[in-house]
Amino acid sequence: MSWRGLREKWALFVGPIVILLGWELLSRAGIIRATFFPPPTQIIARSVIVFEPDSGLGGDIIATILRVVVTIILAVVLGVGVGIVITLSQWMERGTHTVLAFLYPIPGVLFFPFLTFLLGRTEMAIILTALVTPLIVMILYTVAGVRSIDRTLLEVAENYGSRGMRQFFGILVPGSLPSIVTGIRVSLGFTLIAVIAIEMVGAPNGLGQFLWSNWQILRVTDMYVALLIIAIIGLLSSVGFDAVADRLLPWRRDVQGAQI
Amino acid sequence: MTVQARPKVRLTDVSKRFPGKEQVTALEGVSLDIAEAEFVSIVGPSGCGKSTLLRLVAGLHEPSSGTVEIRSTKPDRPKTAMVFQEHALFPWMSVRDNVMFGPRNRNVPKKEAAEIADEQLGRLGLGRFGDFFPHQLSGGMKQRVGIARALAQDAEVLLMDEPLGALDAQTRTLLQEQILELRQQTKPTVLYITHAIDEAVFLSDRVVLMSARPGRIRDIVELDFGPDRTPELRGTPEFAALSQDIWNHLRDEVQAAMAVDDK
Amino acid sequence: MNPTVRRWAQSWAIPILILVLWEVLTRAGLLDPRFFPPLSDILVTTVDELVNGRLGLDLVLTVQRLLVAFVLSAVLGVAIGVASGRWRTVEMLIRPVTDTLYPLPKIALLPLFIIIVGRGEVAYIITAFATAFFQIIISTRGTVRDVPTDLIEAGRSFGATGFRFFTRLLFPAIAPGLLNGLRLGMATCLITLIAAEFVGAEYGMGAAIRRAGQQFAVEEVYAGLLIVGLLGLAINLVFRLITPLVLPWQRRVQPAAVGR
Repeated sequence: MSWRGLREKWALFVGPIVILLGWELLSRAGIIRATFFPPPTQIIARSVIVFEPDSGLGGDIIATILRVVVTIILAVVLGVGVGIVITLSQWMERGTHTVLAFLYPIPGVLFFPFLTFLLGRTEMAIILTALVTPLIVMILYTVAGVRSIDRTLLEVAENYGSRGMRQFFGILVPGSLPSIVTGIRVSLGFTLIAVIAIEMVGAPNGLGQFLWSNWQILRVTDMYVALLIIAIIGLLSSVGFDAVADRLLPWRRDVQGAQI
Repeated sequence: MTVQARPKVRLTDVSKRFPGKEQVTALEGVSLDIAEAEFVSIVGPSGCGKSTLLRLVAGLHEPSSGTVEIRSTKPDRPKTAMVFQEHALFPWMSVRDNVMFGPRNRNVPKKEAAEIADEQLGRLGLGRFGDFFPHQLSGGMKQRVGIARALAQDAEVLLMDEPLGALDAQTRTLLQEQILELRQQTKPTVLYITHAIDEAVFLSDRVVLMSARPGRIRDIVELDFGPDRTPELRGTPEFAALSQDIWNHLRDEVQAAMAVDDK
Repeated sequence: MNPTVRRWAQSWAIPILILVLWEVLTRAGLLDPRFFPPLSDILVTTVDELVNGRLGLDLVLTVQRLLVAFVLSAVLGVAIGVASGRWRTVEMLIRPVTDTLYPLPKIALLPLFIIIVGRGEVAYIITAFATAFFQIIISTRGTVRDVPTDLIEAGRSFGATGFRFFTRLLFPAIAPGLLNGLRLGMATCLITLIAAEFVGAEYGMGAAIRRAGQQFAVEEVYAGLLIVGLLGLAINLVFRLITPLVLPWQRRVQPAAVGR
């Protein structure tokens, strides 16, 4: 990195460095309680438990990630499919919008008791509960995506004879992709939240569950390790997703997607 | 210019009303004949219904009253092919795929459609750009692709909705000359909408002047420059006089349109 | 059919149909009433619990917490967001912090907060605050940067500098985006708050639903969900009502089909 570039970007590093350094010093000095705010170096040192089979943390990480992946795939496939079908009829579109807009602010985790009534404390109940909000988001973004296709393009499609399946796959899906992709990004966030929350209340394993049990026995440093891992997962998924999306849809920046 | 016995396009007393909180009458009592291989421009103030008229001919809207007829010479030729002002290329398709779009929708085999596409792209000077994507092209190039796409349709009538409106003046001038050349090569029947009077005079056989909303035909000006005109035409006194004359006819319509504030 | 009436009908046809079907199917015994109690029973239970039971208290608590969390996140979030959008240095300072913490589900921080500040109101308020705070910073910052530079330059050349720059130029320009961001922020605040209550509180709407779930009181679960949904609706309604007051210069978009 050239000195010039470094000088321009100095501010980027100041924030995190000051915070971490400050935290370390204040904690070690006892000015802030180390039992509540263990020094960052201690947290990092403790992270090795990821690799210790006794802690179970490795397995928890995998369990959480698996749940997130399964849920997001289901949400995307179902959401996009349902979303595009809905746009075929204005009655369906407006009607489902009312229903979805009502359900959207209800945190998915609230449906967990209900789903456990139906399915017991199973993995299926967890996945279906986590699925609620991302599914709603995907449907809404898909519908908005189809609606956002430039009217001119639809006129072109009609004037040049595009019909049926060809129109569906050739025009509607690619045209709504930018919005769908934004929807996936948003859904990823919601899925992670839901999975962690559900794990905190009713799962046998997973990062949320790890957090919960360590909370009961006040193993604060271990909790921070879990939080660090969750933060990394969150960060990687959003950054990684942006990179993949730009690759797949190079024209994404050109087109105005839909705003929810 | 002799008008043939049976016109290629015939509009008979066409009106178009749009329902809504306040009903809008975009067009009223428009009658127009367009002959085979004729190039007709429509000029008029904003909101006078020019675009609506074009879309009626394209079949994208139905007239509220009156009829639109297009005489077919070949049964499997599409009736119309439109060229739009902008945002008209599918960003997820390559240039070639965009031009092939029409033929593919008529189930023309891929190989043949690709050949047609390349031929038209070559005509517009874009032979090298078949594999490029729209976001990699300049405005002028995108419009040329749009024209190539319309030509690939080999439709009965070419409909152009202010195709050069979004371009800068120099690119526009250049493309006008290219359109003139194309016209001389393929002799299509064209209905052309533009704001620019000089453009209409440069390209057409007849210029139709429309009034402010509700759109009616105010006047039709015949141009006798002939189909073999050259770009030098722009420098001639007849050109200037005609352009000025048409503007004089239109001025008060444009002022009337400006006075009505579009809500 | 008059277009406005049509729109209204389309928006409500399907929801009303669903509600009617629900009542009919449950009363007819086709849907298991242990999992799907009739709508009328749910409504009766809701009113009963609100008036005679604890639900009223839970609702009041939730609303109180929501208001505190939201107002705090709005004030701080907008201030920092505007600063971040306006001055590059500020942005570079806080960006690493906001962008790393934003993807972290704040609900995961709840156990930590409870350890630090105890089980009282503060823990849930902070959790909800944290989520909305980062979201509002990011959306505000984006809104500020979206203001066209032409507009800024025009304003400055006509003398809108210093304090006037903010009051006469920047705030009116960002007001619509800001309001929308606040609406979304408040919704997120609600979602996170309810989820936090569900996971760890004794009182509040989220807690009420968890309690009902633990006692297999299905109707009360639905009652809770209904009220949470209505809260979300209320938020959107409030914003929809105040928007023309705060932004009188914005006209409602007319979906006219006028051609040129």
